[in-house]
This record gives sequence, C-alpha cells and structure tokens, in this order.
Amino acid sequence: MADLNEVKVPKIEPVDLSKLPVKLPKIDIDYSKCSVPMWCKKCLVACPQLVFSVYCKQMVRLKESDTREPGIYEVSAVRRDKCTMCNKCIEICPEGAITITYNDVVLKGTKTADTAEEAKKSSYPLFVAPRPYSFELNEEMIALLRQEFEPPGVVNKFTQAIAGKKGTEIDDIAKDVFGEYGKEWMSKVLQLGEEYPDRTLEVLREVIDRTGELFFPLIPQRFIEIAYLSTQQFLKLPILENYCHKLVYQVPDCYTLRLLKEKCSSKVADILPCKYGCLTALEVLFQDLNLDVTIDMKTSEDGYCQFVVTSV
Amino acid sequence: MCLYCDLWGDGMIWYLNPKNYARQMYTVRPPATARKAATGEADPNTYIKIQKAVVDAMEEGLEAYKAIQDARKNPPVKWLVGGWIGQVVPLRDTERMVEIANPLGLIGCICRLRFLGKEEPTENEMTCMGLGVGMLKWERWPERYKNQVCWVSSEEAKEWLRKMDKMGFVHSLMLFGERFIGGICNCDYPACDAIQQRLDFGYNLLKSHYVAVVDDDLCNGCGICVQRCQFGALKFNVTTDKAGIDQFRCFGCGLCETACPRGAIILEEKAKIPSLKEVW
Repeated sequence: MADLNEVKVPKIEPVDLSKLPVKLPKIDIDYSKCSVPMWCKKCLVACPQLVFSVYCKQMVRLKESDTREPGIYEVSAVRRDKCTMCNKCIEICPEGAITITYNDVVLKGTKTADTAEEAKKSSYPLFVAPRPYSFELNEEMIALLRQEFEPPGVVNKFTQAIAGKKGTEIDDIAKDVFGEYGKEWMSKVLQLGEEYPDRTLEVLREVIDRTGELFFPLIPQRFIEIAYLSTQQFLKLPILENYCHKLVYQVPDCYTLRLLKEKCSSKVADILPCKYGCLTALEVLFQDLNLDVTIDMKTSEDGYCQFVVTSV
Repeated sequence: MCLYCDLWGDGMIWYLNPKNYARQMYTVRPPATARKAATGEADPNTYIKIQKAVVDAMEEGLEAYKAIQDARKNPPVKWLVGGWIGQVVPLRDTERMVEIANPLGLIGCICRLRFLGKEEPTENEMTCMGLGVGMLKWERWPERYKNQVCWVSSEEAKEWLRKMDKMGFVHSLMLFGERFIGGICNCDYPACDAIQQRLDFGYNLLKSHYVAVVDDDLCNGCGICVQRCQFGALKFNVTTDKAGIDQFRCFGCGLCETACPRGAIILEEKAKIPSLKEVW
C-alpha cells in the first residue's frame, strides 16, 4: 500500500471553476462482493464526509424491498469529490469490496466476510399490502353512475321541455329539470360512494379519527370527484383549493354545456341552465353531510364554471 | 421577486397561497386503448445519476461542468423550474403552512436513509413531513416510506416543527409536481440532499424570504446562535464580542433567531434590502 502522506487531494469546496478539471479519487465498489448494503450500512456510517449513498435499484408498487436480499440495493460513492482518502471505509468494509484509486495510489480492503449470509439469519419486518388494494375509485361504481346520469339524458329532457318556450319560462324549466337531476345524481353518488369504498377513503378515515380534522374538505371532495368523474369526460377534476375553510374546483370543458350548445340556441346555453344541476347537487351533498357552508358559483378566467364552497 | 412567487404566488408569498397545496384525490383511468404502463414516481435514482454526472464532469473540465450545470437548470421535468426543488422556510412560516396543507403525515427522512442508511421507524425519530392528499396513498410505495406514516393535526404539527427547530434542523419545503408543495424537510448539511446540492454545487434549494440581522445593543455575545448556522453565515466576532452575520451567506432559516435567549437576532424581509432582494 502506498504512503498516505504522499497523496495530495485538491480541496475544492465550493467548486472553484478556475481549477477545473480536477483529479478526484476514483472509488470502485465490487458489487459481486457488496450485495446487501442497506442491511450492512457500515461504510455509510463510517465515512466522515458522507461520500456514500445507498439506494433501492427498483421500487415496486405495494411492496417494500427486503434489505437482506442480495442485489436489491446498491451503494455508490456519489460524493467522491469530498473523499479525503482517510481509509475508514476500506478498514470497515467486511467484504473488502471498496477500492480507492488516485493516480498510482490504490487503496484496497482485505477482509472477505460474507455479509449476505449473515443478513439471511437476521429478521426485518416487511410491509406487504393486503389484497385487493385499490386506491382509485371503483370502476363498477363509476359505470353504474355513468349509465344512469350521463348528460345526454338530462339535456334531451330539457330540450324537449323548452320547445316553444321563452325567457323566464326557460329558467323555471331549467330549475325544475336540472334541479331534479342534480338531486337524484348526488343522492346516488352519496349512496354508492359509501357502498364502494376504496383504500384512499379508508386511510382518510384513519386520519380523521386520529386528528379530528379534515372531514371538511376531504370527505365532500371525494363525493364531488365521484360525481363529476362519473358523468364528465375528463380524467381528473381540477381542485384549486382545499383546506380547512375552503373547497374550490373547476369544471373544465363541461360535457353537459357542450351538449346544450349543440342542441339549443346559444342564447339558451349562455344562461347556463345546467348550473341548477351542479348547485342543487352541492346543496344535497352538504345537507347530507351536515356541514354548514356557503356555495358560490362563478365563471373563471378560462371560461369554466368554478365552484367555491366556504365553511361557515 | 422569488422565482416561485413570480410564477405561483398570485400576489402573495407563494407557499402561503392555498392553491399550491390543492390536488384531486382520484384519477379515472383512460380507456384501455390509451392506457399506458403504470407510471410510478420519478426514477428514484435520478438524483444519484445527476450527482455522479456532476462530479464526473468536474474531472472532465470546465466545459463539461458548465454543460451539466446548464442541463441541470433546464431539467426534463417541466415543473422543475430552473432545477430548483425547494426553498428554505423559517419556523414561523412553516407554522402557517401546516394550517393550509392537509393531511399532514410525519415520515422518515429519505436523505438520511440514503446517505446514512438511517431508518426513522418511530414518531419520535421522524424528521420529515409529507403534505397533501397524495399522502393518503403512501402505501403504494412502502419502500419509500419504510412502512410508517404518523398522521398529525395542525396543532401537533406546529409543536413538532418547534421541536425540530429546537434540535437545530433547517426547515425547507419541497415541490412534488407542478404547483404542488408536498413536504417540509428538517435537515442539516451534509445529510440533507437539498442543502448539500446548494452548498456544494449551487442548485436545488432557494434561499428564504428573510435575512437574519443582529441587534448589537441586545447581543451579549453568549454564542448560543453560532453553532446553529448550517450555512457558514454566522460567526462570533471577537473584536466586538457579538454575533456577526454575513447577509450574503445567510439563507434566512431563522435558527439563530429562535435560539437567541435575548431576542437579539431578528429576521428581516429581504424585499426591503436593495442588494439582497434578488439574491435567492
């Protein structure tokens, strides 16, 4: 082994551009020897400069990786610019897997223990998700709601009802037709939303039980998302604000409004007859959940309907 | 103006704007034909690769180093503006953040896990906080969370943040997606990935909106604050027998302020200081 006193590593902290390029120690890890670094961790702890970093090579959904299983994790000398060649990692590595090279200096470990064998004998509590485990909305529930409440049905009913009618009459009909639709729509959402829970809801309930917070806005937010995702064509509902006082969302490119524009005159579509559907649905929802709120609707800058629910 | 205030502040300090915490709970799957393979989180090893590449470039020379730093500033992910992923936030503002963000879950620190192999399996050891409805789905990635999330109310969160502050950790917020603040880190140099990247290579973490100032009339030179600074901005001035702060180095984390028993250090808004208001 070379004399450490002769090795000169330039100090570059912070990076001095005028000194680039710099010669840095090269740190090689023999992965055929080092196979369970997350279990072993000795070099990570020993290095005074935090040169090493350990990471999982491939994260798997719903499964925690076993730190004792060879080849799942890898350790790497990502901060080798900070290496002082103090030799501590080489001294401690039980498998002699680390080699540091700088010019003609080569520092290499000599130990040959088998850490993987040792790891096998230890225990490590692993998280395995119970199945089935869906964090998204139940597809059957969405299909049931879509079948019953897809906008073409109510829009047809409305266009037939307003045939030959004018002005305030149209508004009254809109209130009746869309109001009734909104009520039935949200009642069904409330019923099916309870019948088809998902893991996200279960965890949310745990949080509410634990902290006593978040019933508003997150419980109503879930029902609102179910309502729109099952009748509209977008894949996620834009939530603009959701905190303890306020829930704000938008309905972009509304399917109902598009149908209204196709089937009625633009004059009728422009008064947004369909707003009675959304507003009644929200009223039904917050009444059912026993939450005291004010509901406002406005048109956003992008021309979408925007709903603001404020907790009283 | 701070980069993110400019983009997402809507006229206020961006991390106090509720819009930057809101997100939907569910996504409906596209029709089967358009369905892509399940997309997970960003490659967990992206950072390792970038860090390695930066160090390799230092060996290659100035041009390679500059090229990779430029690439870092124009990252492939569109919401990572200028390569910044977070900002230092003083305790008083984190306390306001936890009133807006929800739910709040204490988790183990990913940086310390990576750099020290240190797992933080119990509530008392946890040093990181996940924010937002995405946390409700943490079980999808048990490897990331090491099987533990402890839910807290906003009052408990404030208490916990004060504990972190007392321990001497710098608070910083982390972005997770466009316009979405997903976490509050509590860490120090060099274990914190973000602070480390900023101090060693000059990217990842923005300075806070404040800068610390010493009131010489109140400072009695006790030196308690000196050990708290993670950024090398605070020293003990022997000549004057007082604490001294280099305002250009100060990140405005406020750890010195909260430690001072005499209230001799206060955080001032950078916007009022001409030479500092554009220093991030």
